[in-house]
Amino acid sequence: MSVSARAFIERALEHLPALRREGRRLTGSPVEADDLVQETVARALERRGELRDPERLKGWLLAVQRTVFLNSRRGLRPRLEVLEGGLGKDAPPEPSADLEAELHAQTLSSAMKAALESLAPEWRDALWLREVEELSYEEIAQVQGCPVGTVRSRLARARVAMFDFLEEKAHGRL
Amino acid sequence: MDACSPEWQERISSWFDGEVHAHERQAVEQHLAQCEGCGREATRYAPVRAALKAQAAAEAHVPPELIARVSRLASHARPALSRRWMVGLAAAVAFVGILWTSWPTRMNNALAMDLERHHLKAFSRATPCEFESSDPVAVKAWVVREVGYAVDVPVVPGATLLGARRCRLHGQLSASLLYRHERGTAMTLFLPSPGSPAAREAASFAGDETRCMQGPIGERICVAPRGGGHAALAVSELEPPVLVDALARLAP
Repeated sequence: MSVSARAFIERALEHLPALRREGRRLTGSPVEADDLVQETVARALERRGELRDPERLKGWLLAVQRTVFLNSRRGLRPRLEVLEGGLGKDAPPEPSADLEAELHAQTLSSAMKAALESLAPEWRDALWLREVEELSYEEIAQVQGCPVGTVRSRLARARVAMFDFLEEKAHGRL
Repeated sequence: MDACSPEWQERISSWFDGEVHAHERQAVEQHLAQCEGCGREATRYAPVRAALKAQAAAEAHVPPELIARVSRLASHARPALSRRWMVGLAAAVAFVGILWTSWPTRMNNALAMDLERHHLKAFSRATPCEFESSDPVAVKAWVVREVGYAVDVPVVPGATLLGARRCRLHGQLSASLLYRHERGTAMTLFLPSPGSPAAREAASFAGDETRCMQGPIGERICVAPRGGGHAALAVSELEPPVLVDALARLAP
C-alpha cells in the first residue's frame, strides 16, 4: 500500500464534514451526498499529484467535488446507482445516523436559511464557502471556476441581499 | 444597504474578509470612522457569519459508515508499484497465460470506475447484498425476478457466495454476484445483460480472451468475453489469476 495514499486519506478525512455539507447542498440528498463524497475522495486520491499547495487541500477537494458532481449531472459519465427498492422503483432513503442533527439544523434558524435560499446559487455558494468553510477568495474562485474579482463582487452582493431579505422579513414585508 | 455606495460596500465586504492589502485596509478603516452608513453596514456582517457557522456546526457530524468507506480507499489506491511487485505480478500473469494491460486501456475509464465504486460501496455496508443467500439456485431465481434476465451463478472454490445486488451500468440495470474469499477478501462478479452497452464495451476490451487491468482506484478488474457482445467481469483486490479462475467457473 502506498504510504502517501494513506497519509492523503487521513488528511482528507479532516475535511469530510465540509465535503458532506457541500455535497448535501449540491445533491439535495444525504444518501447521494455520501456517495458523492466517497467518489470525490477516490478521484482526489488519483489526482493527488496535482495538488500544488497541501495547505489548500480543503478548497481543492471542494473543487474536485464540484467537478465530479457537474460531470455526473451533465451525463459525461453514467452514474451507477444501486437500487434499493423493487425493479424500477426509486430508492427509499436510508436511515440517517445524524437525524437529530438534521432536525436541529432545520429548526435552528428558519429565517437565516430562507435568506440564504433566496440568493442566486453562485452568490449563496460563495457566501457559504467563505463564512462557513473559511476559504480564501482565491480558493473560492478555484471552486467556482471564476476570477477572484467575481468572487469579491458575489460576496458583497450576497451580503446586501441577505440583509435586505432579513430586514424585510423582520418588518413583515415577506 | 446602509453603505454610502456599492463600491464602498464591496470594499467593506472584502475588508471584513481580510482580503485587502494593507494600504486599502487603512483606507477602509479611515472611511468607516467617518461614514455612519458604512460603519453601520460593517457591524452587520459578523452576526450573519456567526449564524451561518452555527447552522454549519449542526451539520458537522459524519457517520462512521462514511468514514469507513473513505478510509478503505487508502488500501485500494493504485500504489506506486515497486519493482518487486511488478516482477511478481508479471510472473503470475505469465504463469496463467492471461493478458494484463496497464491503465488507461480501451475500456472506458468511467465504466472501470463505476465497477470499482459499486464493488467498494456494496462491501462497505454491513449487509453488502440486496438478496442474501449462499444457494446459487435461489440467487439465480432472485436475479431473474428482480433484474429481468437469467444469469449463471457459479460456485467458486475457496469463496462463499453471499448473494446478489442490482446496479446500473451505463444506464442499464445489471446483476452483480457477491463473494467473500477465505481470508475475507471481497469479490464481485458483474454480469451485464447480453448486448447491453456495458457488456459490449467490456467484450470489446477483452477481445478473444480473458483480459485483466487495474482500475483507477486500484482494484483488479478481469473481463471474460462470453460471445455475441456478452461479457462477465470480476472485481476484487485479489490477484488476477483468482479472478480469472472465478470467471472460468461460469457456464459457457
